[in-house]
Amino acid sequence: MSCSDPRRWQPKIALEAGGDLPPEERAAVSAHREACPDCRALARELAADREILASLTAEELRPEALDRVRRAVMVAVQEEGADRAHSGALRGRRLRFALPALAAALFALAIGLALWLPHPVPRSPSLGPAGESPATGGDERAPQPAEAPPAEPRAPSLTETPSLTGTPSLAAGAGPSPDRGTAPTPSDRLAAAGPISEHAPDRAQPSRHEPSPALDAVPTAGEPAIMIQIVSEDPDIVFYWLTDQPQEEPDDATV
Amino acid sequence: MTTTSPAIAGDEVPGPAPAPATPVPATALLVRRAAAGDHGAFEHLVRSHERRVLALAWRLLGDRAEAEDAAQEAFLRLYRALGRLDPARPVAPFLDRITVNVCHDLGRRRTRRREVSLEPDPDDSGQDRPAPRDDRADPAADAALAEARRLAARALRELPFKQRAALVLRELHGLTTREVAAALDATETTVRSHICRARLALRDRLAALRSGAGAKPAKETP
Repeated sequence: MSCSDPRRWQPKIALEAGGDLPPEERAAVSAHREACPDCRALARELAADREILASLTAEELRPEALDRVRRAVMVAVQEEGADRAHSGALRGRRLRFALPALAAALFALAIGLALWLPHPVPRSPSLGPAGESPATGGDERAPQPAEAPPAEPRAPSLTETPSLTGTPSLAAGAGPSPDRGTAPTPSDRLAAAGPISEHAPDRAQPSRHEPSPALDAVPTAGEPAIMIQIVSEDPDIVFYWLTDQPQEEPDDATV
Repeated sequence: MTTTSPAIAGDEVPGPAPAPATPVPATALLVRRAAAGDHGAFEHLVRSHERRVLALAWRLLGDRAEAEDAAQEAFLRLYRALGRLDPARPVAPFLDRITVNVCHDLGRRRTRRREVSLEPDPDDSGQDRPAPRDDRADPAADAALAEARRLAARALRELPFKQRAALVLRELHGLTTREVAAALDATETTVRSHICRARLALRDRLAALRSGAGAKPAKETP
């Protein structure tokens, strides 16, 4: 008599052979196996195969094979550990030199920016006309394409409109109007800029051949200006930062 | 006859293993020390599990040289993962999983190589068979057993990899279904299905090999 439903029972017999059958199915499968000669034969074959498989575990692994594996592993591990240590040491050494170098570079960059960036120069009555106004360090930078000749006279009306703010002159020195394509005249720039300080340094007309008397531009007492003095360890090296306080200027000072 | 290696903090190392001359520290301590760069501790770990790993790789790959390569790779992966291991957990299941994955990768590469080079099956020459034990008095019975093992090993190797891995871990390494599922990253239901199919396929394949119809091997999958 053959199994009534081998596709149903054979997988269960196979699981039962290794003790992998869920507990709730064991009784039903055992009862079917007792009643089914095919499934009994299958169970016997599976048990014999499992014995052969189990005998494979009894095969000895050769000690030299284990030694070979262990030696190769430890050699690789030591090489890998040495590589890690070497790369870690290199990284630490690089950091040890890189951090001070980075700090020095940042400091130099900050100093360079401080000297290069344009900043308002305090107005001083002792200063000469606009064309002779003292140039700051920022005026020593690259020439501006829209520069007008320094000798060009300024509009007389503007000389009579004193202003305490130097900001408009900065706007005026921003360069030519993009829609014109030609260098604007000083009067164009001044008209676009609006009121301008009588003695404010005209950045559109930097006097590049004059020295940069930053120290000469130190405002006199009573003027609304700030001077920041940075003293280094070397007494011969002193940085000065001169600036106005345009936001504190009285409005009635501007005409 | 060799002795069984001692269990280390829940790590049962099946199969014969020589007893270590010095007491082996607990696995958690070994893992901590090895993770801190103590190569001696890692060597203890290797000694504790090398037999298990090599046997598993051998049964999964059926090739001694490839099994040694796989075991080395598995231990190296363990070494690289030491920093991420939980020392409180046993190492053996993790190593089982690594070994299965390494063997799977090696098997796939081998299949591609054989497709190109058409190398003969090394098992046919018998050179990759494990060394037979010489504790039997009857040479005929010994030869019959050796032949049965050879056929079983060949039939096992012709199983699909997942069925083979599930059967080897369950039958040869004595893992529970849950442990096999953890090693294969599968559910217990899937593992039962693999085991069931593997047992039936192995029976059919062995019957075919015994009857001499084994010249045409079943589809071998990596």
